[in-house]
Amino acid sequence: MLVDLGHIFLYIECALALICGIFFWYFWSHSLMHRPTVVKAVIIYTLGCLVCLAFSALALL
Amino acid sequence: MSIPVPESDEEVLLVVHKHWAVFLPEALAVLVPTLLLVAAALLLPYSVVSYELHTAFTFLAAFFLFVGWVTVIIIWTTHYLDMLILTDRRLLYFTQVSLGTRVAHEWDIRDIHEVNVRIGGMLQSFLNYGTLEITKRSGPGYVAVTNIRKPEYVAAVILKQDNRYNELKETARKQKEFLRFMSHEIKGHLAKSKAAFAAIAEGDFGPISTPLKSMASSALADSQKGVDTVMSILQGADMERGTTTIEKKEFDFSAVVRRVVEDFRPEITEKKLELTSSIEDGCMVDGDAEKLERHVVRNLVENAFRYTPRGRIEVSLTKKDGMVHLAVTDTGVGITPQDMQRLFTEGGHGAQSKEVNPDSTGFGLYIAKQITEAHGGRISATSPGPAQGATFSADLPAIK
Repeated sequence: MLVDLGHIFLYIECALALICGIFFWYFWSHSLMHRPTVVKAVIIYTLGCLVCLAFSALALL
Repeated sequence: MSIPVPESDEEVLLVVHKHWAVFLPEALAVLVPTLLLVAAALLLPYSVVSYELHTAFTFLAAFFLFVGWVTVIIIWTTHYLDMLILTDRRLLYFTQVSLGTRVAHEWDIRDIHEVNVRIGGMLQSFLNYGTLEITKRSGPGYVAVTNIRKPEYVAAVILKQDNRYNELKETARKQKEFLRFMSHEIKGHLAKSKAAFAAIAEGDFGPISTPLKSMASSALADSQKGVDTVMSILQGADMERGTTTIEKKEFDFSAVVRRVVEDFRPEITEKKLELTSSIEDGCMVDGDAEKLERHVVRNLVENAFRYTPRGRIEVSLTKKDGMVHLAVTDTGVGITPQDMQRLFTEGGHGAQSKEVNPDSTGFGLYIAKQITEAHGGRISATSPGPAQGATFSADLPAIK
């Protein structure tokens, strides 16, 4: 049951990461940040999120 | 508040961000505890806690890591968007207080009085970052731009730009002095030529042949045009130096406008333009009648005449709310938004004005504005756009 709950948490975390990502992308694109910096920042943010999500997935093993 | 972003024709010389050494401790303060939590979850042996508890703990650690990561990204964003932008005319400083709060400071380069650099401590000295204290000429105190990279270099670039402006200002002043001097000299010679041609044309030296008379009259008209041009340049220079005297006296502005309209009527009719006027009687004004007539009323009507190839010109004078309102509307070449910005500036020409009116000095409307404002009035222009005509208005305080 806890593992099932874990899956739900994982999906929530995925959704949160996606929502935050979209928000950051929108915010950075509408700020004084240059386009290449925005792209780099999005990539770094995504990599960080993948590490967090991988770690959450690890708990389910 | 509106953010003062660089204008399209403005050259950005320098964009400086905060030093990473300021961001790093804040990021580590968030990330290190969450990473420790993750490490604890990884290293926690199953023999100590149950499988369920271990899973819950790992999940919690992973979730904290995610929250910590998002927090670091937010810190980086606010850190990165703190920036100093130096353009060829302004210095802009943005402070991203939080994601939703941004504060912008703006200085005109010419308004910067002093830039001090403050580097405090070994770390700042070693990593070459510090604080700029910028003092304005126009106000007390200073604004501190903290923790920016290469502060001494940035201060040097700002001051260099400031010096460049001062040099340009000095050059412009010298040019104006030279122009004024030259105009005086030329005016003297033109006045002599004009008098000589007038004397020849009027037969002061005895009877002359018809071709010679025609030539003398033409030369006289050209000399007059030259004198008028030089006089308007001199008048513009005097207005700027503040050496023009306004002799105020109560007079009938309606009569002045009526006279100017009637003076221009033959020329306007000859150009096949329709001229209508609606002049309210008894518009009394306390001011310099000669200067208002010559530089404001005559100028506005003459401009309408020169810049209207076909159509009509309407002159109206009304009195309302203690103000006398003069409006000259034409169906002429109109004004572009770009030209509108420099319309009343010294020597300000419209992009195509030289084609339509080659004799334009660009000082007419500048002088008209200065004279109107010296009387406590205001002058303005509106136009729907190029080739759609324009309306020039002058408002002056009326005597009740």
